[in-house]
Amino acid sequence: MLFYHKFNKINAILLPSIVLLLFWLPLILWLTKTLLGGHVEIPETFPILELLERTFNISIAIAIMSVLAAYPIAIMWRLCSRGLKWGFALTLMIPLAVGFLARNYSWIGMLSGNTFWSSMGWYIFRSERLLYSEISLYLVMTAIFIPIAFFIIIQGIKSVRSEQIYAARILGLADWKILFFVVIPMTLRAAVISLGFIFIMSTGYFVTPRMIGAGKYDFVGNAILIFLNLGRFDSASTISLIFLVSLIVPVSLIAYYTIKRRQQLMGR
Amino acid sequence: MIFTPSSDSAEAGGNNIIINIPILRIIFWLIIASSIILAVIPSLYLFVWAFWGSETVGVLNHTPSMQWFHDMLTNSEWNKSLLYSCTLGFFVSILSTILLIVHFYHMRYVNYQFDRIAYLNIIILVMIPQIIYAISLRFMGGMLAIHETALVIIGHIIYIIPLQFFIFESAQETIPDETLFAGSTLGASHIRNICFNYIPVIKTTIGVAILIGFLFSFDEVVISTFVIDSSNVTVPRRLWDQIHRSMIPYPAVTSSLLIGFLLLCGILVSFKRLIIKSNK
Repeated sequence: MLFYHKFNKINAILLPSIVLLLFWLPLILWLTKTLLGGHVEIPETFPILELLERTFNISIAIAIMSVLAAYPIAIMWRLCSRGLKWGFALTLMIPLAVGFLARNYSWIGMLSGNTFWSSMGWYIFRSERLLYSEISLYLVMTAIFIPIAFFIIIQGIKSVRSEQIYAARILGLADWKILFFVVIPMTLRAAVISLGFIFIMSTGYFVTPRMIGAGKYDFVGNAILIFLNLGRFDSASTISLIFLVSLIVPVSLIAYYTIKRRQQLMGR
Repeated sequence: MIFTPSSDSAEAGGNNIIINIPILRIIFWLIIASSIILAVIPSLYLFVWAFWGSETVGVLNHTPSMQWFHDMLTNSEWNKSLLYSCTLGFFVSILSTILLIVHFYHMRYVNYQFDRIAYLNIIILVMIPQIIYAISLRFMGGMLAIHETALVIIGHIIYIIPLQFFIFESAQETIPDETLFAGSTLGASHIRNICFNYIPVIKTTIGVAILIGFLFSFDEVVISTFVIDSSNVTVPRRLWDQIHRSMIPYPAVTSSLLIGFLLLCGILVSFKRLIIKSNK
């Protein structure tokens, strides 16, 4: 019995141990070397603050836009019939299945199209002027994150129950009030978590700024990659470290909020 | 009426919220339609591009052809990358699925503090940008002389574990503690309990987790870009490397093949269900 108990504990710490070994070990080794290794190597004229500012500003804007775009779909998903539910979920699963890089290529192809058919309709919005512009960066990254935001929000929206809606109706609340004072507050936590996740994910992106922004609106990730390709690992490391430090506060807040929400939901 | 009423929608609170107010209804449907179009239209374009695509960016041919599929599938370099990505995807996905099955099963038998520790770890995995992890992985690889394929496997496991974790977590309600404890009380070892009690109940979740793990591993680009130095590269890394060289529709072909694979999986599952139903 004692053996059984110990065996359970060993297996229960298997996942954290593997994460410790495969995730924390490289991070700790790298951090130790970068922090204690001696010289910091970034060219004096390198605009690190400007890059960080741009990365954070664009990322927060994209996170907000993705959540705002996905929120109504998630609400409709909750309120529609089972068949439509599947329809919504499958439709938004397709972009995730076709791949991230391919979708970036697809946007370049569409925005380069000079006919209605070859641009999938973007031609009417003067797509050639959109390509490689800041607007296209916002547009493409938002489009990429909409399905992710949707799938996170629907996890929280399941908590909206018919009894609550009926109760609000019986109490005489107008439908728009039910939406804004019942449905949205109940799903706000999921939306905030989705906002946080998307913000963190987009700060680390380098593919879309490179492909769609054509290098004019690079993120911190692009700078890290450029230094790495030039063989200047120390510079790439230093920029990564500054990036990591700048993320500590938002990451801690989002992690705390997510864990708290889980405790409230699951009671542990 | 915008929706068809159903018992499910009635259970969810009826379909009348929002819909009763015309302006709100219009705004909602406009946002929904534009969001879905924005999210889905690039995927549709990929299918068009795969069949009608030309070598010139933004220009489509007048007639569809299988030329790019043929070119890609007969190119030895692309074949190598496809094989590498598929093998890696399945291997990594199955490995992390096994790990998570063991983890979630044993969470039923231990103090909930273990669950908290695991969850905290998973949240941090998601929160640290992949690019920072990739650079540290590359550093560790150089320091400890770890082969790059091993680094790619490690990176992919860490990348897909959180996704699969959330899939497994949402399915834990389907199997009550009592069922597992009954197995243990009747003398089944943990391995037998997992194989004959736990896995059969959550087999759909396992299938979904493997599939999602495979898709995300197949599509992973950050770790591959940072870690791989040799000519043996994954499909996304090959696509990333050709950005400035050509706009041949290979990304579209890859996506079409992936969707084809998913359709095949869907058809096989439906076929199996049909056979089971007819046997009953």
